[in-house]
Amino acid sequence: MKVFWQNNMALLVVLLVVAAAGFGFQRHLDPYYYKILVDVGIAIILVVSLNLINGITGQFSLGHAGFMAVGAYASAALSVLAAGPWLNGLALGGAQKMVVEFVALGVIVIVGGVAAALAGFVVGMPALRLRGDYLAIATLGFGEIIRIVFQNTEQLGGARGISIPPPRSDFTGVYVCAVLCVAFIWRLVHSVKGKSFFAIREDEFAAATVGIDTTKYKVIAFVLGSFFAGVAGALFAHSATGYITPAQFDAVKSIELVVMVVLGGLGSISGSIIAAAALTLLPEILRGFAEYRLVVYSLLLVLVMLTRPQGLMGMKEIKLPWHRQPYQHKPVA
Amino acid sequence: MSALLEIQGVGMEFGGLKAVEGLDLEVAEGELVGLIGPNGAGKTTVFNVITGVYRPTRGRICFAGERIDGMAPHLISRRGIARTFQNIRLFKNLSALDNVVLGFNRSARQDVLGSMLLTAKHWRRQAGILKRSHELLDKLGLGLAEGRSSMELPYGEQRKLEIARALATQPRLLLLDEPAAGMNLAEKRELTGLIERLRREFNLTILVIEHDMKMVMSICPRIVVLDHGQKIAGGTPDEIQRHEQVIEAYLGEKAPSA
Amino acid sequence: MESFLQQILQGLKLGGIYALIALGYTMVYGVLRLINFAHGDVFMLGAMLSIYFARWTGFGNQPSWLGLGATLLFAMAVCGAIGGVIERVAYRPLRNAPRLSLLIAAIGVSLLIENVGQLRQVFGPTPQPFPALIQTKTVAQWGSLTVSNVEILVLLVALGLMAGLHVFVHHTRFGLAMRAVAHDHQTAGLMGIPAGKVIFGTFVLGSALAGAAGVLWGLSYPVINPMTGFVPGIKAFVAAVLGGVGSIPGALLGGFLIGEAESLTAFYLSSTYKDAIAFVILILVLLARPTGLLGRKEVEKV
Repeated sequence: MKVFWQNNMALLVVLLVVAAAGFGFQRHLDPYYYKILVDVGIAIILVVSLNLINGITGQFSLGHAGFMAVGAYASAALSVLAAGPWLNGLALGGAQKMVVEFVALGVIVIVGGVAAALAGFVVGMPALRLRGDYLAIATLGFGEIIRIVFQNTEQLGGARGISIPPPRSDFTGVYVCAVLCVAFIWRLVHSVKGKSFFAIREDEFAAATVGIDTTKYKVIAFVLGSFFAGVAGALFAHSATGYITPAQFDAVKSIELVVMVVLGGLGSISGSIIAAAALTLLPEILRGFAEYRLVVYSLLLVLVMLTRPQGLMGMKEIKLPWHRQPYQHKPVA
Repeated sequence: MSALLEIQGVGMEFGGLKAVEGLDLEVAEGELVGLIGPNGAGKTTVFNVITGVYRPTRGRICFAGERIDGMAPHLISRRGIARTFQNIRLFKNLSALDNVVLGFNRSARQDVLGSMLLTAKHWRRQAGILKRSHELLDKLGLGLAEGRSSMELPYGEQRKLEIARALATQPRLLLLDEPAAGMNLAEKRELTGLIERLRREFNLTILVIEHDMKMVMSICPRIVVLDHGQKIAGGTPDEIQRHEQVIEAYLGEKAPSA
Repeated sequence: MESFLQQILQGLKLGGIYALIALGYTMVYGVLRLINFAHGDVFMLGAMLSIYFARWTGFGNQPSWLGLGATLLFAMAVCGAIGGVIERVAYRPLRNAPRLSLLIAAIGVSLLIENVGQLRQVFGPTPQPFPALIQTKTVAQWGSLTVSNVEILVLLVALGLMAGLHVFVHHTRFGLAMRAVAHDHQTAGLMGIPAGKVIFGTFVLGSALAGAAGVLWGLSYPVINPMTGFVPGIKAFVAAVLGGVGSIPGALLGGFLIGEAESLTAFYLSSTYKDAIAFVILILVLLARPTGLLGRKEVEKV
């Protein structure tokens, strides 16, 4: 038990800091900046989880927005049908309301994640037999099919979209999810067995000959990546706007996420965090940039491929000083 | 003596091209067998068929009494067959240590939740595998290289690391595909000693493809010769050297004594 | 019955255009093993630039066969050039890079064309009308089934270009070199075939066909914006996969099948599902028969 606490103390402290910061930001931060921060948090979850599939495991999904949509709509359905009315009926106030809404958001987010994970499993099992560019185009297809299905589901608002009642995903909710997402994926892929994800990316065939069940790991990566895409979708659906339309989850959104993963570095989790934050902030910082945003993204994408195909960070990671590793390398003599 | 590996009438065709034809081969527990033949004789294809890369178009392969032809590569690996590659196939961007750790991967149970929560049990298990990985690297003289990414290692060390990774899967049968390719004389001598040492220490049965005749003749008590996908001879180094068909097969290539 | 036939006709027209675009995908995939994501956007440029060309020359105001022919040639020439430039600038430097880098670069080029096109200084995001290069006329009528000259023209031009391509690939030195490179990149290089030039030529050729497809599209669906290429591009790729990537007759068959499937879905199911049907077909094909209807099986070398 002692080891467990030692391993998780830092994570716990970070979560507490996030909660405290969220409390402070809600009262003292300008709503505009507050919203941007929340957007950054959601982007981090999306990009890191996509990196698990595209960067770390070396599969190439172009359908991440589709799984985000599954999470968003599943959570929306839950809120519209059950959670919203129930919360309304309770008529709580003050601290009690805050706690209950936080817990409700947690449940909603997990439902969104599980729904997307199921979709990821159904899609991934057959699709992961395909390699490289074929997988890319197949996942793009799945993403579009998912979107078109929602577009034709009138019970969920169809093409017009659907408005979602509280609870709202605030800073605390989003960043608790983001921190957990990053920590879990990091720990998984840097564990002894989790190195298998990298091995598949490096040489799928050699991985199989050392006894790694490559199909299983690819499916795990895909399902877990989809789970967090669903979490992000649920958080997105419940953000301040409280309104989603199928068009928000189109192929362009998927491609944008791929751009962020590639720029950050295929395989680098810290690179993904930096890229997600930078590319979400950039259009906000540069006024009038919005129009050129996608031009700059695409130009960057081509230039990075031509000059530094491994992305800005490559596979390198920025490690925090208190980061606890299961093992240390011996120093090179 | 019961055979550990039994290959019966195995054939492998690629769109009409017969890479291997009617091959029979038995390897007994503890043997060290050399597989030789001119370029394109089908030696590596034999390895690929044994390790499940290809499903043979004909014949059957048994390992320790169990049929393995057509099984998935990772399952064959778990039954106890490991290999190295002619063109080294390490996990290039991973450290030497990680390469070996991955070899050990089947010793640990997959525990997604445990690894995410870093439970004490998970932590202990990882420490165990790491200790064994360190020991294995030390045994092969790669202890100092473990933190470096495997593609930065010198060529000879990459070859050794591939053997270390194979050993980490705890095989009973080890397939070495031209382990001495590209090595200089001193390195070859060291490798010869290493193979002998590892065989005894890990109770290995070894099947080795090698182009260096001197080396094969000196370490393998039994040699099998392939040409055009067919077995043309088998026996002790002396018998092979005098075998007419073998000499013929090698004419035009370098002389077998080179 | 007549409305069914009308849909079949509609599907043929659409399919002919898809087939023309699919040829470019299939040829490029053949020689480079790359899904050229930017191909659909080259097709869009063919349509878009033709609008400007017709406006500038005045062909847009006076429908004539000459105007149509000139516009078609212009679109093919300019798209061929664009395709060549894209290959030189964005893909050639990555010849020895992992295939994934090439795919990402292709996605980047596609995004770049679409988004530069949307800038107000370029084409702008609003759709532009495609000029009537020829007067639309009904040339045949059976009951409520009507056949217009545009439909006949689109089909004839598409089939004519495909026949031309077939002759070119099978009866010229370049065509032979192309098939050799598609068969085995490295060996072709060793045999003295300049693979680099062949790849370049393949891009030019495929892009020229996409340019022609752009004009035909403009005649049939006369509203063009910078995103016009994306969806037809992907559908044409699906057509290539369905027919068997690398196979020229496959692209033809796949193009017509996708065109028909889409046209019938729009009519009998719902037009909102017409974009989904191509993807459903794609996924079914990839899972059931990844080599497509007419494709060869590729042995994977380890």
